[in-house]
Amino acid sequence: MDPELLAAFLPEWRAACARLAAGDARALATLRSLAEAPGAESLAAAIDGTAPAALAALGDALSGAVTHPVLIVDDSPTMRRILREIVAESPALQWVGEAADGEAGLDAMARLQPALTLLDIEMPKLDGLGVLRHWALRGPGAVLVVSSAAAAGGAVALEALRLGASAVVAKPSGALSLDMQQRRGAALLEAAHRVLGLPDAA
Amino acid sequence: MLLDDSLRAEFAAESEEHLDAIEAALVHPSEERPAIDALFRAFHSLKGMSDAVGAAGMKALAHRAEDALGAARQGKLRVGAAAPALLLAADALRAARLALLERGADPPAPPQVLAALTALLAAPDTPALPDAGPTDPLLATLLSMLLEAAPRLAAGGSEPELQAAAAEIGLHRLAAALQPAGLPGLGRLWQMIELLAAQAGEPPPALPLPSLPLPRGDAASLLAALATGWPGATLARDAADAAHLLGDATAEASLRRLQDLAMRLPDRDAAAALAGQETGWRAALRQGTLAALHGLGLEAAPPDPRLPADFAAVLSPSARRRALAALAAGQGLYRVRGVTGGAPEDEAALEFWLRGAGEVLGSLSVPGSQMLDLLLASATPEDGLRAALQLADPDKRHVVSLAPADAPPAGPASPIAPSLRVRQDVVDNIITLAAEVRAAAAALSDALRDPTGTAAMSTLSALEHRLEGGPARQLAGAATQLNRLRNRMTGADSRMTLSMRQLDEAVLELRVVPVGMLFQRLPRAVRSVADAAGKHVRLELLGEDVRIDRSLIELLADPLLHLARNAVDHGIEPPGGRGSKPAEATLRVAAERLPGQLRITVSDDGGGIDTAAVRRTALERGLIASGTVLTEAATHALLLRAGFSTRSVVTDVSGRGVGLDIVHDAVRRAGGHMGISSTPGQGTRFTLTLPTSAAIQPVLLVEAGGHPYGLPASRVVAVLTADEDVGGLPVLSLEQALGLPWAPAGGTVVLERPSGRLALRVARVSRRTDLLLRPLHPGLAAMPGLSAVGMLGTGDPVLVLEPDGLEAGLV
Repeated sequence: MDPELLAAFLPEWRAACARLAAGDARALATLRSLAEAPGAESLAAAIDGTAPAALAALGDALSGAVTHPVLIVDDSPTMRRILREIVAESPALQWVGEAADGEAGLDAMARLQPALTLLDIEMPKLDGLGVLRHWALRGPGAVLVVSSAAAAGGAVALEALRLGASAVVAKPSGALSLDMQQRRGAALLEAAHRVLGLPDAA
Repeated sequence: MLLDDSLRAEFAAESEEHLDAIEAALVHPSEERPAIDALFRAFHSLKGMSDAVGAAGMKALAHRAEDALGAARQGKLRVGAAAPALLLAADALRAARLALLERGADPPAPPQVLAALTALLAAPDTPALPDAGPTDPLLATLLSMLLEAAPRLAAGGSEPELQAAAAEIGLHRLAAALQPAGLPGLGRLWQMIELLAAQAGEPPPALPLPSLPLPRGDAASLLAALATGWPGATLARDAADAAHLLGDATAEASLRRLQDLAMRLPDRDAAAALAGQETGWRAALRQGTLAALHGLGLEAAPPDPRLPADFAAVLSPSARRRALAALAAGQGLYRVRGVTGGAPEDEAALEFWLRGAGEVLGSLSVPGSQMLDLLLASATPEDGLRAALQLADPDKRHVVSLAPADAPPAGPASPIAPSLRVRQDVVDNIITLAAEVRAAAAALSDALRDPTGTAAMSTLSALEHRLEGGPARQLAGAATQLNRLRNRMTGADSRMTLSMRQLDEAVLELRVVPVGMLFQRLPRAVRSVADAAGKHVRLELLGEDVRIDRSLIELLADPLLHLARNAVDHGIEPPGGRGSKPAEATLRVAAERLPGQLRITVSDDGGGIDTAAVRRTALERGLIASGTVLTEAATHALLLRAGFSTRSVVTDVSGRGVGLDIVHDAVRRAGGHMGISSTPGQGTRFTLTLPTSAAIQPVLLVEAGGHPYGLPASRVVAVLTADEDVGGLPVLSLEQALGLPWAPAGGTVVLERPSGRLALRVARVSRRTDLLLRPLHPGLAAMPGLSAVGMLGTGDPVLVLEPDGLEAGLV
């Protein structure tokens, strides 16, 4: 689709999807007329029988700007903030929520269906390995373990990988030192991109 | 150091919260695990956030405190004892926090505080046990279905029913794994099955490897890929998952380490670690550390027609290579049939000849005789060999025949295998003794492979270089002598290992009986149930000569009887209800031998299972939630759950509290699993898949802390009352060894150990019994005081203790 047309098309398409999700049946007619726009033919066929959220995602897919929902599970508010800021730096990642312990993390995973979960190991109630054991059979998405408790090649890291975690990375370190802009979470972002099969962040 | 305002506020609040919590917890230190965990996490979080803002001093303090609490978690350190040092650390953290927030400074950690924390530490750690989650009957149901389907999945089949069943109960990731691609995919699936078992509260399933049609070609191509280049994360992961499937924990760990480092590659430390491992990795590949993969990969290679088929099946990979190399070099392969078990000097003469003749690549026992076939590679032509043999063994006392290996082997030693009646207890005795000898042989092999031996030898040779004159020569002479002895022992050890394998096979032969013994009671039972119900039933027994471990007969007799009665009573329709089918119903009980497994099927041509009734009952019993959609197979598997019975009318025979769950339990105790399939109107089939052998150990049951423990009966020398004199033997109480609170002793068991006898005081000596052993969880296997987990007849697990390791303690 022509970029200018797309820029005008997407907000209207998303708004109509939101109305549909809220139960407004008239939104269907709006969607149908929008789908007549040149380049949006693929959407016309999908309108009937597709959930509103999926329809919105299909619209986004037209622009090629697919974002991957990311969940952060870590018991430290400071660490969650830092991770959130790192995630925000990648246009391909979309922060969708966070949880402060393993049990809340599992709830959030089931509710938010993230494509990627950044998971801490040391947490109250249920630790990261416990979360992985549960997730390993159920999903969703991929898990990137972000932990300083899982040293490279150490027992915890190996167990996490065995349970199906895509990778283990250390917590971001020295994020606020002088060269922070260059180094902040670069390794973490790169791992996240590789896990999701995206081109490198750099 | 600059913090932006919002992050600074966040850091200030959270760090203060953690420090407050730490201080509050340390004023009245608790030794309870949740309290220790909370303290650990507080320091852990402080460490992480300090590192994130680049405060190295705070990080060092929190790190050291975290280590100390890690030790407390493992029970190696009391929090009460550590509290003063931890409070010092909290004070220092507070001071550093203020310096950071007020001045942006990062003061180094006070050395005396770090030293106090370090002093708390004890080094080695113990493996953590997996935590059993909440159990769910549907998980157990799915597990039995998965185990039943494992061979079909391994063969590359897809199981849409299973996929649907897994997805229905939310196990989407498992459902997606149910079309495993090759060896790695199967490894990942198996890993999930193990997790499923843990979450269903079931014992870890034993992988029926021999019966799985594993994609052997995969192992070969994985190895080839690993050998050609530095493996990337994906390849390392695939190979690790394959190694997991093959139960090769060492290979799996080293491959996982590679996977981990490869995924962390942007990290400079990881890159360095990875580069540092390359040499070791290459060496490991060369030495066949990935033994299981190698084994599987090599079997994929077609057998070489130049090797005699019987030897080709038993040659080790390296021996096979050497054999092919010898052929390529123009040497000949010969089959030498020798007599074993002669006088030592006779054997020495034979060995002397063999050494001159060439290289022995492998050996095979000749069934029913004391003879051994050796595969010999030799550069000497056949005539030359014969001439030398004539000199070494003129009377043909040791070598019976010598022939080129491609000639067909001479016939069996004796054409008729005579049979002999032996009393049961004699056989039992031999089996027990064989187990003892095997244990002793294994101990000898371990001692020979003990690296400290090699280390001591190199110390001796190092010393020899530092000494001069007479002492150096004496030391050199003694070291040479030691080395020679060591080599002889290693030679004897490998011969013994080989013989032990043959002994194992012979013993296995002693343990098996025809499955027909299990079927003996069926015809009468079936007839009496059929007569009582007025039904005409024809019983077909198939595969009665299939052989089965004796111990399984006992375990399976009642369950099989129950299944047969059940089929006649419930499965087959009452007279007149069989529609167009023949009036005489057929009940078929068949045994069939699979590689490493035995399958018994009980099938009838009756009405099939009424799935609607099963669902109704499951709802009533609360086994499933209302609205749960279940596939046919999942519904059938519900029948195996405890306390399930769809029969509302209690009949004369089958309605007496023995349900299918009892049968299922017995099958599982025997290390097998059970499947059900049913077609409405056409009949029902129960499939029991069992291992052909089961390890049985006689034990003496004792009690400690209200739980039974097993002591290997063969190691028990005497049982004494609590107040009898133990005659100066070292005394240990079982409670003490298990870390349980003190309890009055009710008896003393004297145990034999290589290091001397031990008097073990126990709360109660209960009885002698035979235990069916199950594989030990790897986390438990590392404990020196544990030898196995057994199942009592009631299905209760019992830990079997290893007397040699008791003093080291279990906890």
